[in-house]
Amino acid sequence: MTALLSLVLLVFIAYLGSIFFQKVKISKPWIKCLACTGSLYLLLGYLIGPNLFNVFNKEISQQLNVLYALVLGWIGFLIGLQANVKSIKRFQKEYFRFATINIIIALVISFIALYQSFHLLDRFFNETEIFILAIAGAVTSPIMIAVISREYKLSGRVSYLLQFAAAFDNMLGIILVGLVMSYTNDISFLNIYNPGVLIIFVSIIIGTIASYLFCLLSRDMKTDQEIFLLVLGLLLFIVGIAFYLKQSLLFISFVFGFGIANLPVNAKKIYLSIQQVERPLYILLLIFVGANLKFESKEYWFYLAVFMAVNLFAKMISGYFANFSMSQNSRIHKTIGMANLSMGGLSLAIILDFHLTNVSGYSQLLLFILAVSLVINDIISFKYLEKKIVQSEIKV
Amino acid sequence: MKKISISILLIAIFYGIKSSFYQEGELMAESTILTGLVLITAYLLALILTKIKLPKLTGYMILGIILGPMGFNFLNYEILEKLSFLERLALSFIALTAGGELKYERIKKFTKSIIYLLSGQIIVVFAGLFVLFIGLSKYIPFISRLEDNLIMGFSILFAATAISTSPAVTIGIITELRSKGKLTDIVLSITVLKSIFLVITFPLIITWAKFYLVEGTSFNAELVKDLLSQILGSIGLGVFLGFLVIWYLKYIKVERSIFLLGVAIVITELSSMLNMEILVISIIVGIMVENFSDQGESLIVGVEKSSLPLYIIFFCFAGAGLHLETLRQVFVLTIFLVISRMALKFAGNYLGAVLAGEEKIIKNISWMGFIGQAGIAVGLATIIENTLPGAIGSQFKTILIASVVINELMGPIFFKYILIKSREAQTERY
Repeated sequence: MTALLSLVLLVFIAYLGSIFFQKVKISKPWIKCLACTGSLYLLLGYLIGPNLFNVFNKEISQQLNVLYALVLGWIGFLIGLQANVKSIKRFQKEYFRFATINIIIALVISFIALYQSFHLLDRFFNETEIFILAIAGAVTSPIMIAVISREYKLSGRVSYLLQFAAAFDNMLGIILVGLVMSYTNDISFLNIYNPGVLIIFVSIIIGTIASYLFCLLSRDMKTDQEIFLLVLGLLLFIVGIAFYLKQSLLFISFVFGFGIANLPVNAKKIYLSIQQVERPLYILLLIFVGANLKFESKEYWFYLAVFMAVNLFAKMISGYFANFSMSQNSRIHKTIGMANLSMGGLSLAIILDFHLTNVSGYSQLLLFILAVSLVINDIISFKYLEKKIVQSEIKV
Repeated sequence: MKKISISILLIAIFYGIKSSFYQEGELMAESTILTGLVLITAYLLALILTKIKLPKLTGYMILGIILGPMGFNFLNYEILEKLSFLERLALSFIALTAGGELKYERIKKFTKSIIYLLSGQIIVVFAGLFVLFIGLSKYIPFISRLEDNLIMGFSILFAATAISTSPAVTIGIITELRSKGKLTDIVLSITVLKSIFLVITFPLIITWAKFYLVEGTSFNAELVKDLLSQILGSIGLGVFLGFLVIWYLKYIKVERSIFLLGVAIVITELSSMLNMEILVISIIVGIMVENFSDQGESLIVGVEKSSLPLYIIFFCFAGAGLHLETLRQVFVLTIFLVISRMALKFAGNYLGAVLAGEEKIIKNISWMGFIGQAGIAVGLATIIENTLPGAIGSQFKTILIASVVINELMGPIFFKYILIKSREAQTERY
């Protein structure tokens, strides 16, 4: 079976699955949450991957690298497109304080704890890989919180705050990945070895130029078809450049989306024109990751356990301090960090991004750690959100 | 000026990045960036050309020539090969649209005209070019030395190739201009029927020509069996997929354009795996949905939503694949043959229209809708070259491809002209 044909069949199966979950009433909300956050697609990918049924084998996976790149570009672009500075500024300062403390502490603790744990145990990750793992672990899935809010018809302050924090750490996560990948890549540019600052500078310039070009051209290209074409064309263009620069695809496309969101164009209209591909691409991402999962040795479980323990600890501590930073009457609960455990598709995208642009022997292991912990964290996070947040905000 | 500046800027960025960071084995990076570059710059060039009343398709093809092996060589043969699945995917999409535009209820009143025009074109163009080629053979230096049976064989192939009309150009221009009306329906129907006719008859024509070209060729029952199984298999698969599409559009409804893109991918891949005809399968799917359900409009809208990037890729690659160097070598002879083909198309079409009792516009100008020539000629040219190695085979191939180059570039311009003249083009911007 050819790569494209396998892909279409997969997406079709996955799509029917997603329609099934939409149409059939599932009494247990946690199953619904697992379906919405995509854990089930990961499982599907794993089932049809080389480990079990081998429908989606290694050769096919390699042939579809361009598509992976487009998926990552689209994710980064959409996150950037929602980052309108004026809209973000409308949120209370307290929200920023909460979100910033939350992500920074989670990141610092994760990095130090993972670094120390792996090095004490004489294990093989380098600093870049640990940092990427820490970033991927620190980001939060806004989908889980959104699904809980929808499921239990929540409209309170806590769910807004958590959604804001999730969106904020998604943005920060992508920026950090861009910085890390720029500083640690091994390309040679203008005879400068490891030209980190230059790579960041070039990436930002390219992303910004693409935004300006979009702004200029969108005056002549107004139909949905034309807008779709413009976004697709510019996105492929800058994603291709990111490959040359060995830069994060997520970062460069984020800059592109961010630029558009803050230029005088109708970002909402653009979003509506391109949103049709958002869900299929997200499903593809999850299936890709699932199919690429490899379990090569029992040691993998050990790494997973270390990561999950560190991640839980980091999120608990960061949540505690973030909650503490709020004014007395705005505080939620000292264990609020548990709510942010669900990592979502972006964390997988970060690892896949790293995997595509850096041929690292251990990116497979990173993928395994993230994918498995994503499923487990989704369940823990759901149970916590259901218990604490729903109880405090439930309206119906 | 803005569009030209942006195009130059994008090309300059690509060139700068490629030359500063190029490493061996970065084909993926190159093909990704080039696809983006092609999508934007081709469309910008097309918008510029619409100001001088040229079709957008011509713009896409011109950009292909500029970026292709004859120009900057960014779209080199390796890249074109790597991205060839996009080209096949686009063809499937185009044929889906073509089938979806063929509603029997709408065209049944033109059935007589369609049959007469189609027959007129096939008979007159084939017979005319066949006779012309044999008659001219004494005056063309490199052909005059050939034996009579070889001249017969090449005349058959050349004349058969000239019948074809590119369904991609036809549907591309109709979509671009949102054209609706009698002339549109007649040209589209004839193009689609002619494509199906040629797909079925070409293997037989090649065998016929080989009687003269290759010693020891005899009629082979296996060929007919293979041909039948190929065509019937394609029709069967088309019917099955047609029902699947109808079911999806009717009951599932969501994300139609993504689903249709998936169907086009399935057709593309299955046709190459099972050695079936991509064109026939896609056209049948379109015809099924349009004529056996009330979902025809959904199909067209769904396909149109995501068709623009694929159209651009298809025609840009077609432009990049045009062998302009061959045109230089046999320019005068090619021009003569192209003009002869046009004249014969006019004659065949006129004759058919007169016999069908058609109105003036169909009699006089509808022939211009059939100038664009399908890429099938390139495949035939390769057969000729393989059949007769050496200078003569190459020269034949050169003439054949050179005439495709001219017809492919002229086809969209002619067709756009008649759609505007007949007031069937609906788009404001043309």
